[in-house]
Amino acid sequence: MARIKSYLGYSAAVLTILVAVALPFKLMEAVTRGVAATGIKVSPYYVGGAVARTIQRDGYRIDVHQPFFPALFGRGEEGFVQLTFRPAPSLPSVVSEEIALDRDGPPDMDIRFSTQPDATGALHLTVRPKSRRVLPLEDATTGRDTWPMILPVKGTIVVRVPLVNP
Amino acid sequence: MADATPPSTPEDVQSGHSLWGSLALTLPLFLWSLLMFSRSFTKGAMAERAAVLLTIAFLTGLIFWMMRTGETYAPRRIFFVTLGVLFPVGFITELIAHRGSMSIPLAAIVAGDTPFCHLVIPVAAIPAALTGTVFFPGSILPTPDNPHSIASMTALWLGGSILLGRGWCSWGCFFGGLDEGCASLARKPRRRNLDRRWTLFPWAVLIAAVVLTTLTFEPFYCVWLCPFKIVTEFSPPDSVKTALQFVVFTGLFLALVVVLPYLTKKRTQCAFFCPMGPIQALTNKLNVFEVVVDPAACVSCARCVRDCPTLAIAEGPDKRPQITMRCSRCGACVESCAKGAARWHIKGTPFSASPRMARALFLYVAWIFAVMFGGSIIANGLSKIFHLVI
Repeated sequence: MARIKSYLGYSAAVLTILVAVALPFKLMEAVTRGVAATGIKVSPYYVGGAVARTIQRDGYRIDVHQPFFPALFGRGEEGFVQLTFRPAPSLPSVVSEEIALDRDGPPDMDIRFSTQPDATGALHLTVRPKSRRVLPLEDATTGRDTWPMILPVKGTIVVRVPLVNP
Repeated sequence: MADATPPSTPEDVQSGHSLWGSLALTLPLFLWSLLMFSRSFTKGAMAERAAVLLTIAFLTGLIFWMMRTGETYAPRRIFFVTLGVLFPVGFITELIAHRGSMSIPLAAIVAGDTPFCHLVIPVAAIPAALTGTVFFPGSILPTPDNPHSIASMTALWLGGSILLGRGWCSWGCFFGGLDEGCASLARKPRRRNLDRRWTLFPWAVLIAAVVLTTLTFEPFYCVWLCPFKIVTEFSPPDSVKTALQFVVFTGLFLALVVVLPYLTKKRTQCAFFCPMGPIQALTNKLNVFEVVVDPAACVSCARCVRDCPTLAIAEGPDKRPQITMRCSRCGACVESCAKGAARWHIKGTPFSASPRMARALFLYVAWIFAVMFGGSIIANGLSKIFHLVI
């Protein structure tokens, strides 16, 4: 028994060396893909969540993300919806859009913003709700919190509109 | 656990190999270094090539020193401190080149471009299991703007943990070298007899950070407590909240990474605060290598207890040292033991099994990983320095 344990111990030690050698090659890549394959996602709190649908416009498009209501379980009372306007250089100087959060539903809001920043470099956003779940914004800029937000991000303009969970 | 064979002697445990034996043991690791850095050497600019050459020479010299003399702690410490110093050199330089400052712009957060750090893993794991999402503004897979993705860094950490257990904290973690470096500055400790109950505090930090991360949807330890933000990146201190965060993590860095290690000659951040420590200690159970104390050779002098930099050795009820699961495989106790009682060991093998063989096998694993991971960080930091002069 002691001999078997000893044999297993040394075998495990040698196997560990082989794992170390394999790690920077296929093994690391396989484990990376394995971690990604668990379906784990970055929290929408940071990156806005999955794109629910895309609205095509003349020269640009609007990605409407899944509304996000942060809560440990279920949905929280307050949240936001992220709208990504891309590409930013193709946007008109003033963007005025009627947005429906659901594909076949009535419009939930009118949003309006200028793509020209003010003297401090900030963009300003106005939101006029057309449904109970959207909160109004008047000439709002990006604050310290993750919403509301209007921000140039890598060739797009990201807008986050505050929502309440109906 | 002890068997009926004569106790080990210091010569059995601490001696090195012959010159030719050392060269033979070093050669495969030298070739491994060449393989790991071949791409940088063939495609890099002059500064990269010089950095790679110096790194290969440095790493090869250290492993030869270990094989030839039987010493582990001192050469490992040199490697580890070098890694700790050069990591921020490379990281900060790249941040400034990419963003213009060390502060994290909101756009980078929204884009998921924040590099993922292994310290997030224990804090974010439970919230991720509950919600299916990671509370960290990174990317799941590597992107051109963010090669340090959540999945790749997690894979690297998993690999390092399986290979080294808590040896990650002495051979892999690019932050640990800073407090180990500060702990090495003073010749003698100015403060002794630290209360060992402080070694339980990392569990409290971990539990609190997990709960607060779950409740606030942000990586609480990273945002508020991580001392190493001062050498990596942080939210710009332009509001009351972020200014307070800046004060907190700067204070923790000065206290836990600089001042306390200098005064105590202990790795106080690693031993008393880092939430990675408890998780890493658990991975010691997976690892086949360990350090043990031969009770037949031990004379209960407690020198190992005194010299362990992370207070991972406790005195048992019979005054004999007990190596706890916090052991980070640094080698300090093996070299401080005058009787050769503390020794490298492979689980499952008898006490009489060759400690030099166990050590050599462990060093191979540790150095293969160190060259791949730490070596690339060292080379990157050196290349940034050389870019200034070449």
